[in-house]
Amino acid sequence: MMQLPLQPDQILKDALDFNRKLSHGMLTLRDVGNVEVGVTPKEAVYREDKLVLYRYKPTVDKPAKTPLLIVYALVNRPYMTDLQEDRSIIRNLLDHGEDVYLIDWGYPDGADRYLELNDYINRYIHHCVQHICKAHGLRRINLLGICQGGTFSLCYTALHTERVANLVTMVTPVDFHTPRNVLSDWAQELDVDLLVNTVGNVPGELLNWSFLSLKPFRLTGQKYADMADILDDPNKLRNFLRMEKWIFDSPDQAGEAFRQFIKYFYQQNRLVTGGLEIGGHPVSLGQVTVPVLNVYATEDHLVPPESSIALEKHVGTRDYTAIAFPGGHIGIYVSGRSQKEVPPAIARWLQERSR
Amino acid sequence: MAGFKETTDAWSKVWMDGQKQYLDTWMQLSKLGGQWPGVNAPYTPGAAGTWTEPMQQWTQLMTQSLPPGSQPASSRLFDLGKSYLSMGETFWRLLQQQGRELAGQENDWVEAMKNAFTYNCPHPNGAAPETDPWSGFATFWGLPLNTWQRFACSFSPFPGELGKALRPEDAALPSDMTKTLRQMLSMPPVGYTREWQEQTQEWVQLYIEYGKAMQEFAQLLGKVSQRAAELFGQKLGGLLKEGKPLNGLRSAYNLWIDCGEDAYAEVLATPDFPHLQAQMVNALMRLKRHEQAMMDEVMTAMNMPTRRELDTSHKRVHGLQQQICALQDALENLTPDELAETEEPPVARVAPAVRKKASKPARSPAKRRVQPKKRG
Repeated sequence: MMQLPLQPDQILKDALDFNRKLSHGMLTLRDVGNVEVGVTPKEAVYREDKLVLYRYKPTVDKPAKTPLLIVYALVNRPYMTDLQEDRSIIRNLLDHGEDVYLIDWGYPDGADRYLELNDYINRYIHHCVQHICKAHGLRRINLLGICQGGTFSLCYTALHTERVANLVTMVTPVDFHTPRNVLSDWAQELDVDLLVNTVGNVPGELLNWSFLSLKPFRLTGQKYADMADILDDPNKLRNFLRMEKWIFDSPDQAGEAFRQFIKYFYQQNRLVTGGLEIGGHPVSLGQVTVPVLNVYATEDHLVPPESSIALEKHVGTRDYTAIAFPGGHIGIYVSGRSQKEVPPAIARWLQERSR
Repeated sequence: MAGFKETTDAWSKVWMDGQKQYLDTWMQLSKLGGQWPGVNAPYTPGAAGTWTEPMQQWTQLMTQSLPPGSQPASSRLFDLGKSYLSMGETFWRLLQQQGRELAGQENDWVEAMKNAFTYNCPHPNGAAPETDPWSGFATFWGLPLNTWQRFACSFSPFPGELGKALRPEDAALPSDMTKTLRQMLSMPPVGYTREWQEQTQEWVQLYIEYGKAMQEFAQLLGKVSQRAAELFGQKLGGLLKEGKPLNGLRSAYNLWIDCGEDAYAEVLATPDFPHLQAQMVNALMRLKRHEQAMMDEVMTAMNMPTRRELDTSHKRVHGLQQQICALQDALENLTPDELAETEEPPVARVAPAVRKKASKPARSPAKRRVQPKKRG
C-alpha cells in the first residue's frame, strides 16, 4: 500500500486544533493583561543624566558588608536579571546574603549621541561606585558585569583597581576574534563611522534585527508555534510575554559609544591585542589584579564560550576562577537550573573572599 | 485494500467536516463579540475561501482589543498562525489533488512537498515565486530580509512607499538598460538648479547601488530557501524509507524549521554572508546620508533647524559636560595642601572681602561632589 508522508485527516485535525488554541487563547491573552517585570523591591539611590542606580532591599538580616554592583549591558534592559519572582538572579543573590545594587542605563536619546565609552566607564560607573563606597563607608566594592557590562567592568577594574574588591564577569566577551563568533564576523566589514554619522544613535531595532538574524527560523517562527501550545496556561503565557517584552525592549545605542565599542572591541580586538585607551588612559587586562570569577555559558550563541574563556590568559590576577554553565546566553539568566546554580555559586565565591 | 477513489472520497468528507468545524470555531468566537470591543459582526466568508481568510479578519479586529503589552507577541503569533494554516492548506490540497497522479510513488511525494515549501505558497508582497529568490514558505517566517526591509523604511526621511515605487529591482534590469540609466545619470547638470539636479542624480545612483546590494544579499538568502527544501526532501525521504511518515502538521513544520536552520547555518558560515550583509547595510547608510544632506538643504532654505545644527549643539554640550567632570574630578583629587592653596588666590592679599568671594567657586563644586544625589 502506498505510504503518504502525511495523513490528510491529520492535517485537518491539526489545523483545527491550532485554530481552537488560538481562539480560546484570545481570552487568556485578554485576561493576562500587561505583564510586570523587575519584581524585587528596590529604591533609586542615585541619578545622573538618564542613569539610575538602584539598591535592592536586602532579604536577610545581615547582608554582606561589601555591596555588589551589577553592571548590565547597554543592549536590552537590565530587568532580565529580575524578570519575575522565581526567575531572578537578583532575588537569589539577595537571599544568599548579598547587598545588591544595579545600574539602569535608561534609554539614550538624541542628546546622548556623543556619549563615549569614557562617559560610561570613567564617569557613570565610577560615580555609582563612589556613591556606594561613600554610603557604606568603604574604599572598595564588588562588581558583577554582565555581557557587554562585563567588558565595561573589566575596563573599569583595570582603570580603578583600588575601587574594586572582587570582580565577577558573566557571559562576557573578552576575545572578539575567536572562531564562530558570528556577531564579530558581521561587524568586520561594517562601516561603523558611516553608520553612526548617518543614524546618530544606533536604533535598537537594528540590533534586534542582528540578533533575530542569528537563528531566524526559530526566533521568528517556531517560537510562536510554541506560544500557541501554552495559550491556555496563564502562568506560562505570562512568562513567555515577559521574555518577549525583554527581547524587543531594546534601547537605542549612544552613537559614539557604539562606534568605539564596534571599532575597538569587535573590529580591532584591542582588549586582547593591546592598544585600548578609554578617556586617554591605557587599559590592559594585566591591570586587573583583583580576584576574578568568570561565568560563561557553554551554548552561548551571542558570546561564544571561547571568547569568555580567553580572559584567563590575559587577566593579571592570580585568583581566577571559571564556571561553565551548561546553557545559552538567555538561559543563564532565567532557566531553572541557572537559578539553582549560578547565584549561589557567585555568592559563595564572594563570601569566601570576604572572610 | 481501499482504492484511490474511496480514499479520496473519504478525504473529501473529512475536508467538508473539517471546514464546517473550522468555520464553527470562528462563528463561536463571533458570539463572544460582545466581550470584544469592535468585534460584533459574525464572520462572512469571502470569495477566496482559504483557510487563513477568516482568521485574517478576526485577528485584525482582536489584536486591537488586546492589552497593549500582549499586542506585539499576539501579532507575531497570528502571523505565524496564518503561515501555519497556509502550509497545512497547501499540503492538504497537494494530497487531495495530486494524490491520484502520485499514488505509490514515494519519491514524487517528497519532491512535491519539497516544491510546496519552495514555490507553492503565495508571496505576501505579491511577487511571483519564480522571479523572487526568496519565496515560498520561507518568506513567511520573517527572515532577515523582510525584517531588514521594515527596518530600512522605518527611518527613511522619504515615505516608505517611495522606495517601493522606485523598485530597487531596477538594479537588476538587463545590463544594457542599467548602463543607459547610469549614463543618463552621469550627464552633467546645467543651469540655475544644477546643484539640486546633481544631488538628485547622485541620490538615484545611490538608490540603485542599495537595490543592487540588497538583491545580492537576497540571492544569497535564496540559497537558504533552496537548500532547506533539499534538506527537507532528504530527511522526509529518509523517514519514509524507514516507514516513519510525519505524524501531523506540527511534525512537518518542525522538520522544516530544523532544515531551515541547518541550511541557514551553512550559508552563514560562508564569507559571502558577512560581506554581502555589510555591503547592504553600508549601501543603505550611504543613501540615507545623502538624503539627510538633501533634507538639511531644504530645511536651511526654510530657515528651520537642521540635523547638522543639532549635532553641533549636542557635541558642544557633551564637550562642556566632559570638561566640568574633569574639573570636578581634579578638585576631588586635590591634596589638603593643594586645597589650601586654592583658598588663597593672589587677589585675596589685596582685598579680604574679595578673597572670601573668590574662594567659594573653588570649593563649592567639590563640596557638591562629596554628597551627590543627582548629577547631570
